[in-house]
Amino acid sequence: MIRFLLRRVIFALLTIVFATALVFALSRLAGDPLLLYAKPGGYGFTPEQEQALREKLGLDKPVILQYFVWLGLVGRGDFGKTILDEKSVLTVVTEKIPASLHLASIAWIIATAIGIPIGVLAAIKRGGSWDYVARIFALFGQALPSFWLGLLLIFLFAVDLGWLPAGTRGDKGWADWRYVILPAITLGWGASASYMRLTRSAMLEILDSEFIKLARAKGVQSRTVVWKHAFRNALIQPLTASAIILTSFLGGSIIIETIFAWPGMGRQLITAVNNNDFPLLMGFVLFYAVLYVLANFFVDLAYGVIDPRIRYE
Amino acid sequence: MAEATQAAQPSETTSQRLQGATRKKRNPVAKAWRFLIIYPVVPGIVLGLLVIAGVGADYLYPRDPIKQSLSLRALSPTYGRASEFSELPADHPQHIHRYEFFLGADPLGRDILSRIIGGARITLYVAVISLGTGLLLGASMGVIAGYFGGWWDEAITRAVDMWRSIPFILVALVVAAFWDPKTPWVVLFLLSLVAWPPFVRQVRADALLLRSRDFVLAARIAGASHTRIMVKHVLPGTFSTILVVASLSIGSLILTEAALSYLGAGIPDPFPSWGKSVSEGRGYIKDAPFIIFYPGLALFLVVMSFNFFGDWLRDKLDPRLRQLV
Repeated sequence: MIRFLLRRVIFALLTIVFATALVFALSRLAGDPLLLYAKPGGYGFTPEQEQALREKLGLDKPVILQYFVWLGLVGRGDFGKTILDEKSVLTVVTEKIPASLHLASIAWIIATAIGIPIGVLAAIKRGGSWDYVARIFALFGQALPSFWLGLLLIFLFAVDLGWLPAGTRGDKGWADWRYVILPAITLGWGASASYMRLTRSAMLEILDSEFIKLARAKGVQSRTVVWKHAFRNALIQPLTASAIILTSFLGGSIIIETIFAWPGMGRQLITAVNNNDFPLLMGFVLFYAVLYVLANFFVDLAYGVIDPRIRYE
Repeated sequence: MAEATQAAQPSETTSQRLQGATRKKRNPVAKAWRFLIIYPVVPGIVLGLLVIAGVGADYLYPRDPIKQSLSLRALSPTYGRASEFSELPADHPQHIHRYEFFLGADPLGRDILSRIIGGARITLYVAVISLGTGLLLGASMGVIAGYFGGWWDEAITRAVDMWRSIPFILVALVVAAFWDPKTPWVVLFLLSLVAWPPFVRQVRADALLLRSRDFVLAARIAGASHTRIMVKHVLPGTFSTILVVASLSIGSLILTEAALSYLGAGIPDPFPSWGKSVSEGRGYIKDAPFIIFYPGLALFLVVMSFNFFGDWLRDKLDPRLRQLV
């Protein structure tokens, strides 16, 4: 177990370094961040000033060295300052977390509340009408482009019917619940199809197992068999997948936050990309990479905890 | 005598009843519906249209998809009906043909149907080039990992794990936003980087089983080289898996292209792309919802068809892969 943990931790660190190095190299190859400040040779911008600015931002060194300087600073807890308004990267990232978390958690609730019951029904009534509903639901869920769905929902509920606001988060955070509905449905829609499929296949497998047959043979009520014996065992897979789905919400909300003008990390990230604000960009990449790695790690561990038959060598 | 016939009769009716149970009588509508559910007829039609539109785009455009007419911004769909513009004499500068702007005009006065047809070509490029590159890369790495095992297997599997934990949409955004010159190849290349990992896993699992089969051992004894065995004996055994994985992952690949194009980091101007068309129309959602509706519908139908087709193919070829989401 210790060896397994050690290997996973080393591997996780390697992944984070690799991901950040990749984005670092790519963003440098793509363009000179100094252009965000001022064009060299522009009015009132002397070559001396340019040189001083380069040194201040550390852009005078080779790219590889720049990366290791950044890595060293991060190791000491210094994430740098944004180029645009010289705010601390850590503050900019962390102050966007609550909004993104708000959206992701509501989307998660919607996804599980729709996906899991339909999955169970589809498995119980295999080949029946619920199974068809589930199948069509899954096809739609995986094929609907989220940005299109979002715009259609805005058109229907905000523009045409005027029931819900078309964007932003409102001023009162969680209390402004009307603002979160449309973006959360858009974000949770695809995931609910994944939950449905996972629940359905897990339920089918378990309903086919020996202990269910025994319970039925003993004359246990059908409802008890389904909900107490089968459902609780079938939940393992969808629940562990939740870690991955939740992180993909946090990351995948880039598009949804753009559509609904939701003031979260995704929208900030797009701004950072458009400005080539590399310290901020690197902050986000680091954050997402850590999140992804942690989620995968958690899933691996959770499998072992929930299902003791899984052993780590 | 009477007793004997009576005894024989029930057994006959039982067998008849059994036959009747296996072949339930259905009315024609239910039959047709069942046929549509079981066989990918509708997806086949949609994908056929996609291929025709993508390949023959140059001959099918009702109007040049790049030509802008600012006076016709967000023109409502004509649906082939005569309009005030088509009634004008042919040499009039504002004259348009009846079939131009069949699905309306986008915010720059370009023909939406023509841009959908042009977008079909980009979608086909994604399917052929990005998926093809990912397929070649992923399948060959999968065969190597599965066939050699040991150190090779460990290295390749770890590389795949690492690759999958990179937030890819971020990398794509960074690269596509800054890369000069702007060509569609950048996105196609990026998508092939996302496409390869699923192939590695499944093909590796197949190759792992195949390498200890007798015919592989026989080839080895006969003195065949590792390369020859991998190409001639192992790879063909994984074809059905490759086909299934390809057809199942193509939908999400197309959606990724559309999402990147929507964010302005995908197919650059002036090339048409469905995701970009939706993005361009979002400011007009109140007065001209058709601008976002039709390109999005095309995207949705094509992705759904690929997914349906992939499901069907998997059930036919390799039900083992059901776990694959």
